[in-house]
Amino acid sequence: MIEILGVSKSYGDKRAVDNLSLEVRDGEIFGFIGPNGAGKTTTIKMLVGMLQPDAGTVRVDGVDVQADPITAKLSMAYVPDTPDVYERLTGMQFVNFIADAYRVPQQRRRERVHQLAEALEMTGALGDLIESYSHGMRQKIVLIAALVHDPKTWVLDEPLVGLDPKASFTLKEMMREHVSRGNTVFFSTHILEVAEKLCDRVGIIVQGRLVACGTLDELRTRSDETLESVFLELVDR
Amino acid sequence: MTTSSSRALFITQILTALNLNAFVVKKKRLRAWLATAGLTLALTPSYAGIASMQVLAFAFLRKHGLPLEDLLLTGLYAAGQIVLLIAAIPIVYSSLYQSNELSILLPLPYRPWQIVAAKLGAIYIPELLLGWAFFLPGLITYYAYGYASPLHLPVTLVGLMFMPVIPLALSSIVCILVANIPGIGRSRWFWYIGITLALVGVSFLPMMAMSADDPGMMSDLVQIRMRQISHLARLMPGVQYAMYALVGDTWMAALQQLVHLVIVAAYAVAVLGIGNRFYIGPILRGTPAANRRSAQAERAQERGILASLIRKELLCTLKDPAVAMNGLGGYIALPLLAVTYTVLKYQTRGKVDIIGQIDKLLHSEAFSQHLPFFVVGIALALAMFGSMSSLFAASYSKDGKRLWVEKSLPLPPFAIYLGKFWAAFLMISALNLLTVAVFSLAIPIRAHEWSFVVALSEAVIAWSGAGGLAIDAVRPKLVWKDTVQAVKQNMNVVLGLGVTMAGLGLNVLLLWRLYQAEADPWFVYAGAMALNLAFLVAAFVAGRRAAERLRSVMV
Repeated sequence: MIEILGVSKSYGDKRAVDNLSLEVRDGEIFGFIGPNGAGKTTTIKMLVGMLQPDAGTVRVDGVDVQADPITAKLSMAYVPDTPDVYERLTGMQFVNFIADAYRVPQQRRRERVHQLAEALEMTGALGDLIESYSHGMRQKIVLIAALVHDPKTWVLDEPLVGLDPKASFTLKEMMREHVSRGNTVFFSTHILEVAEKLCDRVGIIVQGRLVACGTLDELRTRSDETLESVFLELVDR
Repeated sequence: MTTSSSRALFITQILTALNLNAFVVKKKRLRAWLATAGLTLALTPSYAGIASMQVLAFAFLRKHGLPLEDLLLTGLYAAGQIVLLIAAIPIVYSSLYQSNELSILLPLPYRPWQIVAAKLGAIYIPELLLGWAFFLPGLITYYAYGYASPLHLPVTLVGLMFMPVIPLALSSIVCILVANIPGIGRSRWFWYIGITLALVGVSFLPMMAMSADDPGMMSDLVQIRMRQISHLARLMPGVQYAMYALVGDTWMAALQQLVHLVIVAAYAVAVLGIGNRFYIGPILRGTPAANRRSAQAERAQERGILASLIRKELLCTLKDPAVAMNGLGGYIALPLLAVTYTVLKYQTRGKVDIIGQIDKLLHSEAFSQHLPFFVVGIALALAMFGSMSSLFAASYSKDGKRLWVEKSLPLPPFAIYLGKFWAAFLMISALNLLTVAVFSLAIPIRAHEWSFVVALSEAVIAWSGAGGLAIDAVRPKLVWKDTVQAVKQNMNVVLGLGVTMAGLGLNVLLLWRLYQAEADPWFVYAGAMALNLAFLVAAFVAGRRAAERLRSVMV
């Protein structure tokens, strides 16, 4: 469960996130959408303990991310919007490094790496240097590393960008399977069709403020409205 | 393909390879000019040594009427060719295989050979300057003493313009062909070791030409050493014609130069053909997966957190040539110097008496009272070299945008600091121990004194490294285009060096006070060690606080 309570963050004079509050419950996929520069990535960085909010509190499974970042991080997976990783390592070396940081035992690690690499069709590339990877493969190795410790909460910033259709489908299936076990997925996307089909609830952020939050039915004013038309209406308002 | 587009390609290569814009762009030019001036100043003493050695050698021959001036001049030219060959290898390798601009150049309407020509053309200019810098002092002296007529000068000047072609072509051909060998061709360490061995070889060239103090010895030296160097250079086919053209009769020299130019043209065609086939060709055909695959396959394997952090840092440093060469490359000079000294000691048997003089001095009764200061001085000097590495003070910076990985991990920031510290310390420490081991063969102090040198130098490297790392933790430079900018153009490295120099200055002050007070030897050792251990504690206290900045650093 994720609780974001009255969180604000400014960069100089620019207010990137403004008194944002939302809750993501166990067993749901939450889609976080908004135009470029709306504050999605800033919110996500505060959620995963990479950025300190100016005000407000973020809790993951009841753990205050600011007060106890290590415990909070142990229960989360984070995939950033750009897969900048250590290019001089092989994929397996990178995954091992992340797994060591999350204290994943050897046997469990082998099973998870095998399972994730097979699912994302990366088994044959794990021994290659990351510098030789395509953008999509980098995204996949970041996903494998992020999910290797099988965390309860997934926080994914634009996770589908660069993935091939099959990997994109696999990831969406993995997200559904993950929440079916009572876990949480929080992800941002620009692909509204994906959010519409995949998410249990959606939050729309515009200029740092949460302007709408709820199920698609709750957001619609008319029964034939799509998420796209709801989104455009809210953004243009 | 028009001439203007070829010219544009060449000019772009020159601008990027030599970073010439940095000298004119308003925001960068001051730093570029200052860096160039600093580098010039730093190189002036060793260059003055090489130049004066050439001038003095000709003066010696003239004074004693030894008719060896042609042999000396051709030997110097041959030595210059060897220097150019060795110098070109790392530059060619870096330009061809360490840059990612081919993705920009290949879609453009250029033929592959034009891209190769532009890349090598950009290297030609620094090679030309290096060749002239090396060879001109001797050549000017040769003409000044009237060994050649002014009519001969045009032939010589033509040769000078094409001086780097053969070594540059050969080094390019070697680089391109070796890089195509599956498995080892792209291994960075294969290149590091090869280049280091070549540098060791070149470091012996000046030693071969050491001046002697009587005509017979100089005659032997020129006749034997210069002939050896000339024979070595003739392993580059065609160089001999340029050498003959320098000293032959005018018409014969012109003919020799003509043959040289024909051979130069053949080399140019060969290198462009080989570049086309073996450099651009494999890229157009698609790099084989075997070349991309890491030599060591790894399985899922659990390690302790600190061990894993250290391992990650070591891999990221040693596999990144820009970081490894800039962080460790400078340090390589010291073991090389140690090897040179040690070889000199045993090879010259007193002709070059540097070590002999040190031996004599160290064993003198008058010096015995000052031995502790000498021992502490060696430790501080060694540590100063180790502390000049940018590994510590660019450790956070080199992660750049990838610092998000460490920020997002469930680890306390100080654990990440310690991982970075230990990785850099292990690398620098290993080189320091190697240097001490080699120097211990040359400098006759006792084992327990060497042990103290090791302990003190390691302590100084540790505090200066911990301090540099703390500086980088506070304000890392995370925005850069390549890691060279992170490790070389980083103010944290300069600040770290400043802190180290200040600490070493306090050490010198302490030693000076102890010297004045005629302190007991054990007091000198204990005082120096205590001061540096105090610095070490202070550096880690500062490091612990600075490491917390990771929480608020924006990535």
